[in-house]
Amino acid sequence: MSAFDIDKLLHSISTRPAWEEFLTQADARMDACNLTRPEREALLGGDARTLYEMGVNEYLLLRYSGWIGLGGGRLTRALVGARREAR
Amino acid sequence: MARLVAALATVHNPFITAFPDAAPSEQADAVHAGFGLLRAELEHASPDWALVITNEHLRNAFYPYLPPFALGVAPQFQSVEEVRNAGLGAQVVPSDENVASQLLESVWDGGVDVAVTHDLLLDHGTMVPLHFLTPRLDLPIVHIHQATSRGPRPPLKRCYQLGQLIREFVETRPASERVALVGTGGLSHWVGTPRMGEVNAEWDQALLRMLVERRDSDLLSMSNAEIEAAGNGAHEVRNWVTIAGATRGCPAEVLGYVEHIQPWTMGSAQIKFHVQGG
Repeated sequence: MSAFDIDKLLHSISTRPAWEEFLTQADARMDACNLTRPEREALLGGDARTLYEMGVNEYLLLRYSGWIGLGGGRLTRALVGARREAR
Repeated sequence: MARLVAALATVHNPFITAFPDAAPSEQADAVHAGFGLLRAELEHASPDWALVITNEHLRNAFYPYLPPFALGVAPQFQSVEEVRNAGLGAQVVPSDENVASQLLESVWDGGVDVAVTHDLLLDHGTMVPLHFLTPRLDLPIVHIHQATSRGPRPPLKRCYQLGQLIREFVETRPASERVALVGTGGLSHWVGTPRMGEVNAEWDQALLRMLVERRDSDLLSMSNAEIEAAGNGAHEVRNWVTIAGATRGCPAEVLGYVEHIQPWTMGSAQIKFHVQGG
């Protein structure tokens, strides 16, 4: 797996209706993208820090953070000290 | 020959419209004053159409491919609903399909292979500036999106060349036509990283000096690493570089600058390029 797979999924759900639809069929969508258990847990659990460290695109991460209610500086606080893997 | 009547550059920070009361009033007033001056320039110029150059925020292209440049060809375009992060609902922006088609052919002939899209979803990169500059959304807008939101990104020289070809296209248009250019994006900022909220004021001010002093060769010699030192969002400078290419040799003036508006996570700048026809 690579961050590109998570990016691809996040890109496909980058509008609110698409995100809400995703939530109704999350398992099937994540199966289709072959996401690993840690990736699934990070995505559904709102673990932006782990997603960042996995190398998810920052613009997609910011948009996703809005869907999970990490606005108003909370995303920044969640990411403080996070390190990216080389991509 | 048509007249290039205005060439402008500005930030497109969505937090300006999302959280209008969050910034200190003195800074907010300065930002709004900068946009007000840009709007006055545009209204005085009275263009028949405008070209807005912004960056692809990965709402449209990304998978399966991401073209370095994409030009929208359609009678109108829809913006995405961004109430939470930009305070803006979905809107329709009129365009000019014929002008866009002809621009596409012209830049292709000039040697830059811009991708074409008939279904370009607009976002705050376009809509925040338009909110201030043409709030009635009654000016036809042609759109170019540049790929700055992830690497590999188009080289600065390629963006500049695209700007030159845009200028050449404008000069082929009917004499009565009035055209405006607006580049949106920048300054230094970090998007979706632990450094979100920081600025690199030294880089910002050096950039503005390069633009005002028209040291285009210095502008184009910036490396990706030098830009990255001002944040992943600083790569949006390409949208201003394209305007610099379209206004080669024209003096430029900073109409508004605020170094760092903490609640809005970055600084603000508005620039006017003094085009001969304006």
